[in-house]
This record gives sequence, C-alpha cells and structure tokens, in this order.
Amino acid sequence: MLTIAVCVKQVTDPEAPLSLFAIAADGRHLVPPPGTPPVLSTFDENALEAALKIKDAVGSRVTVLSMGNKLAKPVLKKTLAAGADELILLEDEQFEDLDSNGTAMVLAATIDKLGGFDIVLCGRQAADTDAGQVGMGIAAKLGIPAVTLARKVEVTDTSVRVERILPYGHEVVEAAPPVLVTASNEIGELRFPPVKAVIAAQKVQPTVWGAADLGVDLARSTRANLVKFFVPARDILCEMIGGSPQEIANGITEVLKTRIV
Amino acid sequence: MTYTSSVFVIVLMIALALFVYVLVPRVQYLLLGRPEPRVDQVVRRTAGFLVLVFGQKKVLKERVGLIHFFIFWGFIVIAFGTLQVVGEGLREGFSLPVIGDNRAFYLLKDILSVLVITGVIVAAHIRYVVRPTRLKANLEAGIILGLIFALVVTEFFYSGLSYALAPRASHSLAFVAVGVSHLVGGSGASALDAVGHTLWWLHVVLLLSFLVYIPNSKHFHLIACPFNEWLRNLKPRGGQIYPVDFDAEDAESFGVGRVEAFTRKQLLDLYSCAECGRCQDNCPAYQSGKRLSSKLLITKLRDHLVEEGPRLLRERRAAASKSAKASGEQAGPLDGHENDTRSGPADGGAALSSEQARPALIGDVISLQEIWACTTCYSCQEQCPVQNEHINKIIDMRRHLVLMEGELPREAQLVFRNMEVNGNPLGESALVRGDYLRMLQVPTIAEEPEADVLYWPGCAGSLDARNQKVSAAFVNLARAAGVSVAVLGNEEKCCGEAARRLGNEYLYQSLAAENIGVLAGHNVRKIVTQCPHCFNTLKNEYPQLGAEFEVIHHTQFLHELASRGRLRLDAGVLGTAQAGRHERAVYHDSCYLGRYNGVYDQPRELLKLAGLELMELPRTRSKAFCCGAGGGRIWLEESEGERINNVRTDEILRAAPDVVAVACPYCLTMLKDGVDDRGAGDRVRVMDIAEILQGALSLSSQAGDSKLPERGNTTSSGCAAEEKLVRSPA
Repeated sequence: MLTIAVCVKQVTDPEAPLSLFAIAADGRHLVPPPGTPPVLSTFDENALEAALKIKDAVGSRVTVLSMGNKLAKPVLKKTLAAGADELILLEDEQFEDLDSNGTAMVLAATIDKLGGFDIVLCGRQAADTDAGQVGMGIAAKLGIPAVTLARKVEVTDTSVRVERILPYGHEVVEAAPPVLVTASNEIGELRFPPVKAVIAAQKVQPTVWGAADLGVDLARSTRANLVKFFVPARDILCEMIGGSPQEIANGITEVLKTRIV
Repeated sequence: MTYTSSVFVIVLMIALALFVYVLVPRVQYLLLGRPEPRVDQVVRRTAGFLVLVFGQKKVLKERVGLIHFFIFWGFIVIAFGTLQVVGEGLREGFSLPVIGDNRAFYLLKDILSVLVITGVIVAAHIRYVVRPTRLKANLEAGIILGLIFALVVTEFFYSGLSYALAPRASHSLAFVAVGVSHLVGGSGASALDAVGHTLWWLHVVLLLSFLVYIPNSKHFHLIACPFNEWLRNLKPRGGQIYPVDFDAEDAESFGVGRVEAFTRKQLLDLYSCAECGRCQDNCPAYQSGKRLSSKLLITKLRDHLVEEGPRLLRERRAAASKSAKASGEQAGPLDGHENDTRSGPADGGAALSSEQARPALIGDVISLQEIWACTTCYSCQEQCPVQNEHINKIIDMRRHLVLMEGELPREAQLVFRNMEVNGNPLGESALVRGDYLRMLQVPTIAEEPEADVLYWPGCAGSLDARNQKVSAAFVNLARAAGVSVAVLGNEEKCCGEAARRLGNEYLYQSLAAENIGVLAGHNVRKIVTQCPHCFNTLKNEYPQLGAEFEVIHHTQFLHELASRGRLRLDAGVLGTAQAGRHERAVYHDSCYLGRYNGVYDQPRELLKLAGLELMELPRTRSKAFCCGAGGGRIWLEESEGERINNVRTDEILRAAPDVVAVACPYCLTMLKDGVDDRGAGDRVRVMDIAEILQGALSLSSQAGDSKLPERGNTTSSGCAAEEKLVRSPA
C-alpha cells in the first residue's frame, strides 16, 4: 500500500494579538501571552488534507510526524481524528528551538527509521517563522526529489503528479516516488473530523521518540544562532503647519521638497 | 333480538379484531425506539393532562380550535349516547345508569350533536373550499369528516324514529329527536320500526368502521394524543435538549441517524400529529420559503417509520434469534463455523440489498437543507396543540451529522473551530475578550469579588462593535442605579449555545464545563446576561451539568431596578425629540427571552417608562416571528428562499415605527441588517432596550456618572439618543 508521511508543526495561535507578545529577558525568545492556545500550523493542515485526499482516492497509510518539546498532544491528536492512521511525536529537550536544518535532520532520521515513505508531505512554510526550509531540507537529507507549492497532488500508477503554483498560473510536475511535496493553502482546508473520531483519537497513545531513539547527533549539526529579538524603533514626528490655505500649501511643499523627496 | 345481538357480537368481534390487527404493528414500531423514562410527577402530569385534553387548552389558542372543541366534546357525549342506542338495540328497556333516562343528557347530546354537525360542515368548508396551505385537502380527512357526519345523522334519525314509535319522557327536551319524530309522525309503525332497525345497523357499522380506520390515519391522534399529553416534557422549555453522556461505556453512537434511534416518546409524537399545520403556519423557515416545514418534518418521519417498521421488526427478530442461536451453539465451535459459512454470504447479501433499498433517514427522508434550516425558535412547539417536540428531533439529526459523520456546513466548521481555539464564534483572540469592558473600567470578579452582580456580556457584548454599545449602556445604567458590576473578563468563554444547537454537543459541554468551573471558582451567585441565548443556556442548560446560579437577563434586571425606583428615567427625553409626539416603538420579542423563558412584559414596561409609544406587531409575544438567527443560524449562510430577517423586517416596517426595540444581540444584528437591506436605515433605528433606557436616563442620574458625556442639545431629529450612544466612553 502507498505510504505517506505528513510533517506537522505545532505553533502558537497566529490569531493571538501581536501587541501582547513579549520579548524574554534574554532577548532571544518571544513569549506569547499566557493562555495562547497551541494550534497546528495552517499549511501543515493543508498538507494533511492533501494526504487524506490521496487516501480517499487510491487508499494509503498516512503517518503524521511532529517534532518539538512539550507538545500539546490533544492538538496533534486531531490529525488522527481527521483520518491519519498513525501519529509519531518526536519530543526531546534538545529539540527546543531547533533551527530548520536541525528540524530537517530529525525528521529525515525518523523517516529513515520508519523505512521511508512513498510521499512525504510538508506545509509550504510554518505559520510562525515562515521560513519554508524544512521540507527542502528533508528532501536533501533523504536524497529524494522535492516539489514545492503544490495546489493539487494526485497519484497515478507510476508517478506522483503535482500541480505546482507559479506566479502567473501553474505547472504540472511528475515524479516517481519517493518524493517530497510541500503543500500550499490552495489544496484545501483540513476537513472537519466527526466528533466521534475526535473522542476516539484522544484515547490513542502516540509513539514518542527522543533524540536517542533516532540516533541523531544534533551537537554535530550546524545551528543558526539567534542574536537578538527586538521591536524596531519607529519615530513619528509631527509638525503642524498653520496659516492660510496658501501658506499651508507652501509649507507642505517645502517640507516635501527639502526633507522627503 | 337474539338474532340481532348474536350478529352484533360477531360484527363487534370482527371490528375489534381488525382494530387490534392494525393497532399492534403501530405499537410495535413505537417500541423500536429507545426507552425514555417520563413517568414522574404524576399529579402535575395528570392535572395538565386534564386541562390540555378535556379543557382543550392549546387547541383553543386559535379561534378555529372551537370547532375541534365541539367535535371533541360532542364525540364524548355522543359516545355515551351511542352506548345507550346500541344497548337499546340489543335489549329492550336497556338504560345506562345516571344518563340513560336523564332529560338533561339528551338535551345536551342534541345541542352538541348540532354543534358537531355544524363543526364538520365548517371544517369541510375550510379544508376543501378555503384551502389554507397548512391543511391538506385529501381524501383521508374527507373520510373522517364524512364518518363523523354520518354517525351523528344516523343517530338523529334513529332517535327520532324511536321517539315517534314510543315517546319517552327522557327525550322530551331532545329537540332534534322530537323534531325528527314530527317529520316522520305520519308513517306506519312497522315501517318506522324497519327503517329504525336499518338505521341502528348503519350507525353501528359506521362506528366500527371509524374504529378500524383510526390507527391507519392521522386520526390515530385520538389514541396517541392523550398519552402524548400526559408524557409531555415538563422540563423548562430552555432545558429540554437531551444531554449526551460522552463518558458512557457503551457510547458508540450519538444523535439520530436512523428512525429507530429516536426515543419512544419522540416516535409517539409522530402518531400524535393531527396535521393541523399550526406549526407550519408559524415556522420561520417554512414561512420564508425554505424546504423545511415543521409539519412535514413530523409527517415524513411518521410515514417513514410506518414504511420501515415491518422491515425493522423483521431485522430485530432475526438478530434476536441469531444471538439466541449463537449462544446456544457455543458448545460446538465446529457447528457454529459450519453454520457461519452456510448462512454467511446469503445473509450478507440480503442485508446489503435491504440496506440499499432502505431510504436513509438523513438525506432521503429529511434533507440536509431541512435539518440545517431550523432556527429552534420554539414557535412550532408553542403552537402545537398536542405537545409535540420538533426541536429535539432536529438537534438529534444535526448531532448525527456533526458527531458521527463530520458532515456540516463550512461556516459551522469555522465557528466550531473559533469556539474551540478562541472561546468565541467570532474568531477574535481569547486574550482580547475582556478589553472592552476593561476600557469601561468595569472590574473583573477577581478584582472585586464583592460586586453586586456578575455581568455576562457574552461574545457579542464583548467583541462585536455594535453590541459593545449595549454593554456600555448597561454598565452606565447599573452605575446610575448604584449597582456594582463585575465581569469575568478573559476568563469568560462562549456559553456554547450555538455549538449545542448546531449539533456539536461535545464542544458545548467542554465550553460549559470551563465556564461552570470559573463561575464556581469565583463563588458567583447572581449573573446578569446581555444575550437571551447566554441567559437561557446558563439558566436552563448548565444545571444539566450540575451548575446552579441565579441568572437573569438584563431587561429583567433593569426592570427590577426601575420598579424599585433606582433608575430615574425621564420619559420626556426620547419622547419630545420629534415635534411634540412620542416616538413610536415596536418591540421584537426574542425567542429565547419570550417563548423560551416567558419574559414578555418587562421589556415592554421598560419601553413605556422610557416614554415611548409602544405598538404591537401582528405576530407578537408567544407568536412572535424569529429574526432568523437562532439555532446557530446566525453563523450560517441563508441562501434558500427569502431571508428570515427580511420577512420580519417587512412586518416591522409596515407598522412604521421610529424605533425597533430588541433585547438580543442576534435580533439586533439581524434586524439592523434587515432594516438596512430594505433601505430604511435612515428613518428606523434598531436599538437594544438598554440603549433606549440609557437615552432616557434623567440628567440628575447622569450627572453622577462622570464617564457619560454631557447630553448634546440636538433638537433637529430623534437622533439625540443615538448620538449619545455613539459617544460611548472612550
């Protein structure tokens, strides 16, 4: 049977008001306001929907992988409710704040450990960092082709057929499995799972693996170093120009000429 | 006489056998449903039963109900008369105790018989000549009317002939019998006897045909209805939705996806329907051109039950015998295996084909469109003379779709997601929920645990710009009355009402449990809500989950303050705004305040206190027409037929009010949209009662409130009050 892995990331609710975020004392972490709910990154939901569409069409076994530290299991279990067959959580203190390269390493190692998949699906980019690097990183480490920005994924007898978004249209790319595809929102929103499935999913105990189980040595990987988080300073200068309409117009023209243009 | 009586006994036996023969399967279909214990509060049930059945209380809610009243009582009295007649025919000198020789009885019987005849004629005229849409001009109703007519007429003539043969003192006041006797007076005794004998038989045969006809017609309500009335729902109207136990060990199926998943009481409703169509006449979905009709919902389910009943009974018996066989054969596994292989494929095939042929309850019998169109406005149940419960059936089917199938409108999916992640249907962050009330400097209950009341602005009052003004008005009024108010702030979550009515009981229960925990944690005693939906859910539904708070709606609370003299209202403020005449207001009843909770008067009295001239809409109070937003419908698109809010708006605009007063954020939104859609936004204002009261707050009370701006000296139009509202505290 066709096998599909979907990599999903848990993020802080992107709807949380930005003004309530704070920068941690060390200047290197963003602290979400207390009570901000964790959610699945939206493009990763699209990736899962793509996998489920393939499952509906030709049948397949869908495995969801998620990496992080202190993951919110009820949130990730929703992938099972929606129709995924298996959930594997990669949890380790070392996985906290891992950069794109490290994340790709861990996910690729997991995929290897599981014996590989016909299709690996990722979201085009994460809802928090918007980096869009992990998918390509996994493909590179696994040595398989990658097709990005998919708006449609179909499986034929011999290949995976992807409609890939271009700035002014789309192109159709075919690749023989194994292949990695990153999904865009055009693929469709994640389906609403029946509540019965949600309840059933909450009772499932997902597999949890740490760095040791995977045999990855993150110490040897390159790691992006975050130097500083800061809110860019923005000055607003306000100058009142008074007088008659004529004088005001002249005044504005003068300011525009001398200081702006 | 021996001949007559032995033939009679045979005919009677045949009729009774036929009656039982048609009745038994119907009862068996009923028993296919899940049991629902309702035998409690015997005294209350019986008292209500007497008023509803013998007093015909709800039938008489409409004037045409008088026809039914007369036919009903006529039938009861005539039934005794018939007993007497039948008895006389069988044995000379037969007389029922008390009534057999009672002149008053025969007088009463003749009066009622005339009323029955008149009633039958009027009913036939309405059904076949006037032809209102709610009634079907079909043969079935005609047969029944004809039978009743013929029964009464044969009895008239039989009595008349008997009287002519042998005048009895007991019949001297029976004017019809006496009249008929005069008509036939000249005929010979033997002829009279022969015709009388024939009439007697005709009467008996008609009566027995009626008996046999009943169970297979809508006149089964004669039998089902009394039970239905006695078993009526005694819970508060707002707390009648069945809770779901998600933790139950055997919880495998939620909601209703097949007819036999309804409870027996729900199925009894189907038999009780007399197809009077009052529900349909008051159904906002049907009246706005949607496929859903509350009446057809019931009759289609009934026909489906009767059609599927035989098959379901067979299947159930087969399953029972199979399991009995299986347990009997446990000793010999080989035998069992052999049996399996032999019967397996054949059985499977049969089951499959029957499954295919069977119309699906959801989809074939009741369409998705119908299921999602209901606003749960309660008008069908309010008007139903036989206490049928339509709403639970709709909710149960929605539950099946949401909980079991995951098949629901996209808009509902989004709303559920918003409620789940953010604790409100609007999708605003849960972290900004308390911002507006904090801006009004209302403390949280954590900051001020001793506050007089906990104000529950709800999602709309907290997050929707238009309804935030209502929150501001309430806060100002409370301050003017010297009442200290606190809120939950960000700890408040959506009450879950819309989720529950859209079938997502799971989400509702999780939101409710969180809210109950928070409220209990703060030892909250008295809650005042802005939204009638929150009000109903907190008051009537949270108790199902073990919570007990005193919950009142802000109109009740403000009325309480005003009647205790704590709100000084200046009736002139709004009233003088337009060239010396009082501004005219209509009050649009909120379903969840009015029909569900009986709050009709306080909002109206408040409007009068504010100096408005109150007009009543044609459909008002218990017959008020829904704004279209209930039942979670506010979150769904409405593309079928006319928009319900526009239908209501047209009714409102025909009354030409200056102000449309509402007491619900949903109504406010829907009617404001309707008024704007009809291009009347510049002449008709839609306002919550709290806003109107704030506008009428006398200057002396406002002076005490530093946060209210000075009243503008606008003189030109009736906008003074509204302008003041716009300048809500910044």
